[in-house]
Amino acid sequence: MGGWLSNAIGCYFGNAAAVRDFRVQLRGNRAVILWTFYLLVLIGFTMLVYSGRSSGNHTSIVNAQSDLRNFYQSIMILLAVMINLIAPALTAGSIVMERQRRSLDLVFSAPVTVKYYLVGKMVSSYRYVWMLLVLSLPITSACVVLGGATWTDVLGAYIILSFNALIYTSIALLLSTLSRQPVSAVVWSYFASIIYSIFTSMMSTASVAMSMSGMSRSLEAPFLVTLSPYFVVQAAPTFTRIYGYEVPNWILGGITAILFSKIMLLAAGSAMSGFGAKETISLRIHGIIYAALGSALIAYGSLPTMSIVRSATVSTPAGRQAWTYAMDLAFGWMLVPLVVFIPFFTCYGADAERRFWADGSLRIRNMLIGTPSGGLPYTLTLVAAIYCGIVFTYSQLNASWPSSAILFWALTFWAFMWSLGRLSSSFNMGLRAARSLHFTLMMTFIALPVPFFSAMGAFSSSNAGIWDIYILRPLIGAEDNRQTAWVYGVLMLAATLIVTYIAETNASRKGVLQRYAT
Amino acid sequence: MLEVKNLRKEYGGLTAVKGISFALQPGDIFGFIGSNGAGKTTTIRMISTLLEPTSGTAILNGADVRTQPMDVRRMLGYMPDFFGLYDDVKVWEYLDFFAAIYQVPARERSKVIDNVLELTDLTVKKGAFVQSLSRGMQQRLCLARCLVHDPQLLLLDEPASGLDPRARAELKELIAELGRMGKIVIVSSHILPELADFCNTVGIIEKGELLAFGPVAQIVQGIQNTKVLRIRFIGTNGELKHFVETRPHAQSVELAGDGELRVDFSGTDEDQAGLLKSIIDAGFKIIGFREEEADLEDVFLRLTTGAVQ
Repeated sequence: MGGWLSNAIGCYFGNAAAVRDFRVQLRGNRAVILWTFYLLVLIGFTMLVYSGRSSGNHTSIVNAQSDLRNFYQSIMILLAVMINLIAPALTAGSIVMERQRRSLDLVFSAPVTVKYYLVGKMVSSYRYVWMLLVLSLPITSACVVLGGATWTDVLGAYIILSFNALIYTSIALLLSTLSRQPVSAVVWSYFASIIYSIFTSMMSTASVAMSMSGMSRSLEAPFLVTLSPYFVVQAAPTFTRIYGYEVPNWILGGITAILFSKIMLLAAGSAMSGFGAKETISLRIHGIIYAALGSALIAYGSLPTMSIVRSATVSTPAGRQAWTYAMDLAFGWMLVPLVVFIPFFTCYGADAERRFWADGSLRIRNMLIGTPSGGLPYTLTLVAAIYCGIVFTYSQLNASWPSSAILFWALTFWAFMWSLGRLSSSFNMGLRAARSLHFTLMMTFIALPVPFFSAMGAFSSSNAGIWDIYILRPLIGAEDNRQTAWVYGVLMLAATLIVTYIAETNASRKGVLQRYAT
Repeated sequence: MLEVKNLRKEYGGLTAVKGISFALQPGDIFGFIGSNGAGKTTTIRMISTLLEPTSGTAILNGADVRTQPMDVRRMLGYMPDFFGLYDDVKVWEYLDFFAAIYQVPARERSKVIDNVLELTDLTVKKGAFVQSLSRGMQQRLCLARCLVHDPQLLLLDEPASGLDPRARAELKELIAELGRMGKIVIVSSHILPELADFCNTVGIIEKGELLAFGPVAQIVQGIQNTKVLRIRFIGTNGELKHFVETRPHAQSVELAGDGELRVDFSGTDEDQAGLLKSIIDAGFKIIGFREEEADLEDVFLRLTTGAVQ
């Protein structure tokens, strides 16, 4: 216990990588110039907003209070923008530049674990973001002095901002590990951060609107509102009622951010360590748990909307049925992000010194160690975990859950997507090429038909039936799709078997299996 | 003690290292010789735990690179064929970082840093930025980095490449000193004269196969059936040549310039002394009689020319 504790303290508080990076970050004119620029932007924006809000001399107290509140909100949104811009930029180069400098070999020939090094990198970036937040305190304290916010508001908002910075940092760290070039690491980090911001902002908008506006005017809101840095002002005072206790949402948001950053770290560690490493096994286990937990949370995050829609519709038989069908669609669409991950589970090939070998087609026992033969069972387990997560949440609403028909379709559909990965691997020696082709093939089936079918439907209403041949047909339309899901499921199963047979035959013929077998 | 047992590395269809084995004792300075792409770096990376062997293993003082990599890392210092230095870091900070990740206690680090800087003659550069150092100094700093945790095995991959003659001489002296300190030093290089001076053991690797291993003299003896004698004399070329050709054990005799003969001789040291005596007794005026020493380069060329197909 004592050893574990001292290791943990050494890893998070006395980390040599963090100490070295911090020395470099604070050295020379660069830090001074960056801080000066940062403060100038903050001060300039503050003056601009304040002068805009306080243009009239005669205003009511209510209006003045509202203006000051808006002023405070503007400052916090600017801080969110800064965090969104700075945290990925600070972190994106951390691993990829070490790789380019070839200093990783020096580090990993020392008794250093991947976890220790990645944590050090994250701590150094995160600590720098904290410094920037602290630097902005004089600006936000002006809001307190003027009366736009209380110190409690500011403290809550800063805590939430810092959790969001942790999330941005961990995303950028993962992408830095996966990238070959610093520029691509920065570009992908910004892309991922922006997608994250859009996604969480949309979620927060719905939750905040439902909880705090005209409908209920309560500070009780799903804690997911804290996962968007752009809603810190609204999210800071909210709470979630758990067993009668009002738990501040920033605590729950903080736990979520820490868990999120943990899985990002595990993913980065797995990318650096390879098959069979404890990071890979841990990542896969966490992946299953998080998939279930994440789907449950997303379902929970949409509860305010769902509750209102349901209360308005469920009273009629037609409404009840529509609710049931909607569950199927929600589950099916929730699985779509798997297209990003499934090439990593499925494809094999050569990648520099590491080999992702085709160790057979299907081995359930390899599900957790990360080899391609464990790709299908792991993918199907993720689908099942997401299903369980949704079922758990919606069962709390006493609502029906996604049908077994849609579960069958989802399992066969993702098995088909897996078979496309095997097919693309059988044509390519290189891992990256196989993954790219796999992704392209999936997009060809999922995304490419959409504009074509839309255009066909637009020209003539008689063409609307063309959507029946769309691969995601069970996920569109408000009608009962369960019959369609069964039929499409059988078709997907047949397609999976055919494509897998072609892929494995092709791989054997090319000698790929033999060449990469251990 | 380092034992390398049947170490093998395959990349897809390519076998980079084909099951090599050797053992080294403390104080050994092992010159690992091979042309570019022969498998030197791959072998060194496997010993340093950076690359997992396809089969076989290496054991350093009882710790296996496959099953106890962390224990092995604590006992070795690895200097690759690139610097991997950080920008904007001072010399002492660079060493402090590596001392920290090698788990040197914080209270001892300052003293350790001073010691390794003194050993590598970089004390005056303690506060300088690493990017301001000359190439030779950067190389010595990399060696200092490998020494902060007092390793028992040093893996130096092409340590002298790109150094000027002075820096090279200093580095050689430093490596010899490390050998005297009882460390096992593995030095890979394809510049042979630099290794011959201070290595007491060499291994020649070509296309992933270890063709020879042992002390330089032993390897030379192993590949040579005959000695090469050089005889310098005063007088007419033809007479001495004809005389030597008639002597026993003289395999071939040729004129190697004016006043010198080159003799392939298959006899023992006694026979060699007898040949000299007979030449002098015959009245030839001899001013030089020596056995030509085969150098590492000769050995390497002989072993690697068409040795592995």
